[in-house]
Amino acid sequence: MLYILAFVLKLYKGSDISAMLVVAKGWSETDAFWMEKGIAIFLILLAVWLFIKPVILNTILLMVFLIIHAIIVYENAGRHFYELSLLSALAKWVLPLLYLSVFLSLKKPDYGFVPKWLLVLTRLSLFLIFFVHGLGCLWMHPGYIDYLIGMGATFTGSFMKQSLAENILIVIGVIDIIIAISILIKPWRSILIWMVVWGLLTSFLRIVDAGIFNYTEFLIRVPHFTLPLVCLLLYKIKTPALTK
Amino acid sequence: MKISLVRIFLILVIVSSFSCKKEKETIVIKDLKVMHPRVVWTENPSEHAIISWSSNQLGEDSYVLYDTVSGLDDQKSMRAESAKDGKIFMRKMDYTEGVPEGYFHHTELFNLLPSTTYYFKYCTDGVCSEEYNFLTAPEEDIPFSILSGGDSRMGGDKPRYAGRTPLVERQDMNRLIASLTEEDPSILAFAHGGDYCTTADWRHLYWWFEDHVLTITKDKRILPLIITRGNHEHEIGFLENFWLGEISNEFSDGYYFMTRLTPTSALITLNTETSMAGKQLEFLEETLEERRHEFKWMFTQYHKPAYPAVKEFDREDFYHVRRYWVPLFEQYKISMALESDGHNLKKTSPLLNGKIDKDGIIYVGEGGLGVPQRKPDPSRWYFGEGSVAESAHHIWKIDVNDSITHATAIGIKRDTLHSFSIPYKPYLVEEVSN
Repeated sequence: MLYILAFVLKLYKGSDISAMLVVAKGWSETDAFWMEKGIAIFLILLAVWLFIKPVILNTILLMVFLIIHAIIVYENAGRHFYELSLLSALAKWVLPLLYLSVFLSLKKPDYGFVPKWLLVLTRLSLFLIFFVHGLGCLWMHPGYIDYLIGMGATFTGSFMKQSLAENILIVIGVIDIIIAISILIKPWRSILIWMVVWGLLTSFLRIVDAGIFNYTEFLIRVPHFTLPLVCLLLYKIKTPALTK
Repeated sequence: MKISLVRIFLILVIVSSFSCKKEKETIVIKDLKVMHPRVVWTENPSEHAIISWSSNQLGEDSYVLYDTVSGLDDQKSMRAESAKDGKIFMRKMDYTEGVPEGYFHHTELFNLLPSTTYYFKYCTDGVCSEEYNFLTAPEEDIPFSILSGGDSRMGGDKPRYAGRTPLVERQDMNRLIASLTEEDPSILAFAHGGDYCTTADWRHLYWWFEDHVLTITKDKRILPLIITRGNHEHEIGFLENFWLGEISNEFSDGYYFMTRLTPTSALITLNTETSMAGKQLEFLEETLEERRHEFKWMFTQYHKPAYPAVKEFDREDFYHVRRYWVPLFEQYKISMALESDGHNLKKTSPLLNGKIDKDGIIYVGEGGLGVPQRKPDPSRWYFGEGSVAESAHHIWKIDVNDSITHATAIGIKRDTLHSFSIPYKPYLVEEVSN
């Protein structure tokens, strides 16, 4: 829900959808504005509907929106490593499906279980998210460098050298990739806990760095820690499928 | 479980490797052609310039013939060998959209004379262009002008999404640039604020270069470019085609430097697409500390704005410009900041310490060289009295005199959209140490 809320807020403030409509499709500013707002309202209704009564239709609609939005962002280009961003964004299409499955397994005991294949897909999504961010670190994403320098300046009062920030990024990148590969092999509890903590810290960093008004960037990254958290809970609960 | 995970992973790897994969097309050897001339300025334009061009074959011998008199020939004119040549990287989409294969060439000219018209031809394997010319920067403190703008983005017959009505504003703005340059010989250079196309892939850059030829005047004068890197220039095509000589560092995405326009005026070009808090911040600090006192007028250009007129004020990247650079701009009293990215016409009120202050810095922009213009928000706190926030294609003409600088926003129909003046304010070294 928070993730969808992040999209709604982005659409309200102006997103890649209006940029694509105005710049690439030749729409007027006004028409693009109303299209974005219309999509935002549609998303809110869809999210409410999914929250109250998740069914396959609203789940699929949300999944389709997430995939289309990721592709629009990719087509618009204009950001660092946008090919990687596409992979990371696409990895989150599984969220509505996971929500539906968990909801059904909790609400309808006779539904049975969260399917194994869905758990596998969730782990694959986690792999993509962490692998992509790990690559971003190793490729010295300028934003990541500035986060480290900025955070260091905020807490210590002095700016660290870019070379030091780059060395730290190499370490973080290697860890991210190891964690990503580990989740593919087996959903170890410690790996999932690390993912939850690291996902939360790095998402929250957006607010620490640029202030509370950057909260949409935090909300967009909520899946980075909620997805491993859900995974952790599902494996801990030991759904019937897993015990079979 | 493990086997199915491995299968899914392998499938993903294979599928992703087919996305926009470069394909070898059957190449038909054509007559060699040279095209797309550019003159690029970096740090010392009174004595140095880079001549860049494209060709449809690599060739073995690329060079520039140049002299201070017209009528170049191989025997009498000076010759500079190309410093960098190569094949322009192409993706499958570039081939699909039908742009021809291209090769880049860059030649540096050193030891030029100031305030001198140089005539030149660029050649590959003996196939030479027609004769062009450019004017070097002065070594005297004379009045001069520069043109400034950003976000050319789309235009011409082949837009990003083929099939819809092509945008022609970029071409119209380029013709306007040529016309302004013909009328006012004091215009020295064209400072482009970035975002030349949708991406820096060849299917986009090719058409930008085709359109850029429209900026050449009737007497074949080419206005030197001072290049900024924008957020739509992350592809390797940018590094291949906009080479800055000894300044550019392909591994660190540099593209930040100071251009000494005259003995008393300079332009610092910064790069919002690389780390703003690392080496670039050190560069900015050192440059301002060591050299600000040399210049009466010091301008700065960069792509993403500190005070945006359209996009969200609290965006991370804009916040970083305000956090890391603006304090230095204010400390060292930058004359004016030239910004892009927003796709609108903007002039803020003078700003200092996060509020409107008559002694502050004016930020102008924000990218009107061809991209469809967005609707700005003039209710933002930095648009006070005398400010501008409009939706209009434009270019800024900045006329620098001894004691005053005039800035004029000229619209696509050659109408004056806005003009204002900045009086010279002495910059004292003592102010910094205090």
